[in-house]
Amino acid sequence: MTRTCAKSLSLLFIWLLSCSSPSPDSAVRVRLAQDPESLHPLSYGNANALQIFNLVYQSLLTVDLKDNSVQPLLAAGLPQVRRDDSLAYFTYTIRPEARWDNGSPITAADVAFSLKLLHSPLLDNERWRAQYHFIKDIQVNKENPTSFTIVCSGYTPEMKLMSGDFFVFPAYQFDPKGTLAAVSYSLIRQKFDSLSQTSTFKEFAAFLNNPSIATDTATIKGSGPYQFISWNAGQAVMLDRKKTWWADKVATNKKTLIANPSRIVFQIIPDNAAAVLALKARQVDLMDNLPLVTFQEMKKDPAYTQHFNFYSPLSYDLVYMGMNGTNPLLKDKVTRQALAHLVNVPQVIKTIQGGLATPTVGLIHPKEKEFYHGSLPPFGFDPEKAKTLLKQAGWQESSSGWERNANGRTQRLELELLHRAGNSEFESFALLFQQNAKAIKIPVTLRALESSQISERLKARNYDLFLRTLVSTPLSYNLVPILHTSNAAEGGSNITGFGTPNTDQLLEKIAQEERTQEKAALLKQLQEKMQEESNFVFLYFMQNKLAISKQIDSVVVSSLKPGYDLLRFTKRK
Amino acid sequence: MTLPQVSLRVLKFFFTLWFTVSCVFLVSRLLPSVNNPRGLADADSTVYGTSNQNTLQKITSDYLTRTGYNRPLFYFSFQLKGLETAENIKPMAEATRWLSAAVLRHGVVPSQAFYKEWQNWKKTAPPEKVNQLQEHLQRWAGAELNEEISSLKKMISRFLQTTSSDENSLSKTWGKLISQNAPLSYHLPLLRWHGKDNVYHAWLSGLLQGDLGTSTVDYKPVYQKIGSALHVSVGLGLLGLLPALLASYLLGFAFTLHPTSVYTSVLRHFLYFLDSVPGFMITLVVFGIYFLAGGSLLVPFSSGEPDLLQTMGTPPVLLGGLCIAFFIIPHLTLQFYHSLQTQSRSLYTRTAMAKGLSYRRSLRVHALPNALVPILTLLSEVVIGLVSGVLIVEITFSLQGIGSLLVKSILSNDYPVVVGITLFLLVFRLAVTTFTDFLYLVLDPRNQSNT
Repeated sequence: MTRTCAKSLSLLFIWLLSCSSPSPDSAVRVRLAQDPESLHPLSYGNANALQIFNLVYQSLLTVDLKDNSVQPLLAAGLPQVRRDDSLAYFTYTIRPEARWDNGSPITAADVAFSLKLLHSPLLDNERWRAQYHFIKDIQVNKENPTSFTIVCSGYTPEMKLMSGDFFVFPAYQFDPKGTLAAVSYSLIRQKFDSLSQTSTFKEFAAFLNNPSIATDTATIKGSGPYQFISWNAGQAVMLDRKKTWWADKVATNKKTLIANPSRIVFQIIPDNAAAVLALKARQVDLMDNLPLVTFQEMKKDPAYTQHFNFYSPLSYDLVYMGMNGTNPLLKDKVTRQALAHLVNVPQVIKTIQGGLATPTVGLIHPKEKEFYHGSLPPFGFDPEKAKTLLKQAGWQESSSGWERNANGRTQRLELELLHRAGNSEFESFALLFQQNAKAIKIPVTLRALESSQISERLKARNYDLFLRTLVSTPLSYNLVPILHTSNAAEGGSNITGFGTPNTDQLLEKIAQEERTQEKAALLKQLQEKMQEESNFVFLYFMQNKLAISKQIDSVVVSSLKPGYDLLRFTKRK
Repeated sequence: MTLPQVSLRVLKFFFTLWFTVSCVFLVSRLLPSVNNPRGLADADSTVYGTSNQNTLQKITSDYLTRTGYNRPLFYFSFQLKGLETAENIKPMAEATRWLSAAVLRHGVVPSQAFYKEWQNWKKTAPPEKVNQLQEHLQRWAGAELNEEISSLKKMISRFLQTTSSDENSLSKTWGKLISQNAPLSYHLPLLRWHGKDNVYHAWLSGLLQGDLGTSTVDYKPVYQKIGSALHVSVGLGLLGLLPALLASYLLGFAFTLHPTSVYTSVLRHFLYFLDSVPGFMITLVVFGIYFLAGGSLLVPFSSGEPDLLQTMGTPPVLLGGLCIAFFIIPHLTLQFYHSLQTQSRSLYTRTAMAKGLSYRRSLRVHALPNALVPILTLLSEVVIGLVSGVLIVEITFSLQGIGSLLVKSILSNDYPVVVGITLFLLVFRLAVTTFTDFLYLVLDPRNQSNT
């Protein structure tokens, strides 16, 4: 009774809401699910903070969300590459027009400062230290202050992007005393421990690890097209386009130097239901990751289709089930293959994702036609085959389940599946898998855990099966960290224990290969091997679910994060 | 109350406080994510381009040194004697686990000999053999059942015989190792004293000096974060509580005065209905009506910290207050009504009316004070609940109250804030209950005559 009342009430309101008037101004309003929490250049909180940072700060290179190509941003052009035995040199020149807000030019010194910041002791920069570990040194050209060379250890083709993919911060603002300018980049990396004892670095750290740097929007000024107007913690962030932005004067190579909206407001609405209400009342112009049911209903309803366009672009977020190859139960690949035959991918996509997901045989997106192994048949759901495979692996079916003798001890095939608590998609998949396994008498226990607990168990290799999302990218195929056996021991990123000497060689070759055809052949081999080994059972690539107001012209949606290109939007009044 | 009684009570209060907060702190330190740098091990997103294992280990250990978390957690800890002996060998990171197992099972001398031999062998042996042996040894170290241990022992022996055929020294030292047994005393737990240089001591002495630490997310002092969240929670609570109190008082009184009226019956049924509607439904309906009435999401942007009145004037807080009033009115009204009704049926009310007072006046003068006493307990619970945050309201209207701050801090592993909020809520709860007890004492003359 209460339920019906509540439902009919809410339906009434939703109907009435669709008649209400939109927000009148020219600001583009975007819904964020989470507060940026911190705007500190090193320890910023989350993906939302990064999205906002991309409007305020700039890196040397960027990826054009329209066609996923690497484009120069602060740099005048793509880097010139030179290689010798163990090092690679990437030479950049900064655009001559580039200026900070105080009018001073952006120079190689700022780039060097930003790199030093990522590696200085006593700062919250651990994840950047890991990510930019490959940058060995930076050499500034003495004759031209805007030209410099970044020296990287080893060479992989993705370094053409990664060597220029960090924010360039104004040195005059974050290091007014010039502490970092006095020490060279290579010295900071070599003398990390002893520098952390010096008083100058302690003072610098105290200056930087300060709430005003993390929260004071008045002091956060970058070379990007937008400046902070206000940040009401937990409610809204407002940014205005700079009246005079240096890039307005640039004449050449302007493809990525666009900033159309005069004002951008990020509305922070953590609750999905409240956000949908706000969207329906046209208080926000853009909402992503809409709940599936809402997305489908709104798409059909003319009351909403007259105001909104709906998009479901592909994304590179890959959902997979991992198996612990170091676990005695799952050590041989035949057992793993058997379990892979218990996953019914088409059913999962239909029931959990409403058809809005792309099935895949490997970790390459089917959209990447030249690299994706299209002729490799997926395993498919086949419990009988699974049984045959289990018998082949030495398991014997008994009345209570599957058993086999190993090292004088009877092993029973009982598994535990870890997934993140609160993720309803993972929960539903886990239940489906549990049912399928139960049908052939494999007991699977489901365990919903908090994400850091999962990380810890995966790190210690103390698990059987897990569900996870892999954020992949079409720009990099350096899979050594997550698939090479040298990273398989505790603490390394190869958590499933995947790999044979053969696949190791394959991975090393892929990381080095630049020619598309050869790379494609190698990647296809890898996809075959990965299916054979079955440490990973790939389920699907997710699709984003976006609603964007029809007031906005020149909409660009993308498969890369954040899923749309705000800078190209123009809003009609 | 006498002085010893008071001091005993104060002592109890501080003991409870210390014990609970220490437990929260120690438990928070035992969570796995605390010992990992932010963003380095996100469970649901593995990004390409992360570094190799050795770099990650080095960075994590630098992080622990920087934050001081590499120190022991408490003043003392227990450790098996054998494990301590194994630690004294100071093995390489990859050998730590199996070497500890070896020492614990077979004694320190042969283990050390095998470890030395293994180090030599590792320099020349092919890498895949090293990896295989490493894997066998790790499994042997991790095995728990006796038969599994012995079968793995045999397997390693066989592996070593086939691998190092020309120089059998590794195989020999292994044979020697497994033929011996460790002394039983290795399994005795030893108390290790760490002294003042531990994480708990540093935290407690900070706390005693009034330093709750700083947030790991934006470096703000914890008290400042709690302060601004409290601001919102108090504003929200006042806006909800005051109208609710007034409404409950008037409604409860009216119901008792006119028990047979149609309005009473309709209103009471409506209150029962309101009580059964889930909170999120109420908030969403209020939010929807607000949009319908042409309300806008855009809150006037403020500079600096707003004062309490300013906070209470913003639409989200006003709406939230309204929702909270809807949450508590049914419960409060019905309880008050029930309590007043019971009093009105008692003999003293009848006496008062017999002496010539009107029903209304007898209720107000004689029944009301008695009816209010049980409501006090209810009210103290409501106040405590409001300050700890009404999460549904805070999330729906994007308000940064205590509730959402707590949730946010837990999700972003900001443990200083979590511990700080726990401490604050504890003190607040104890203060409110003590105050309520005191009020009982003042309001109810029977209590005074007892003591």
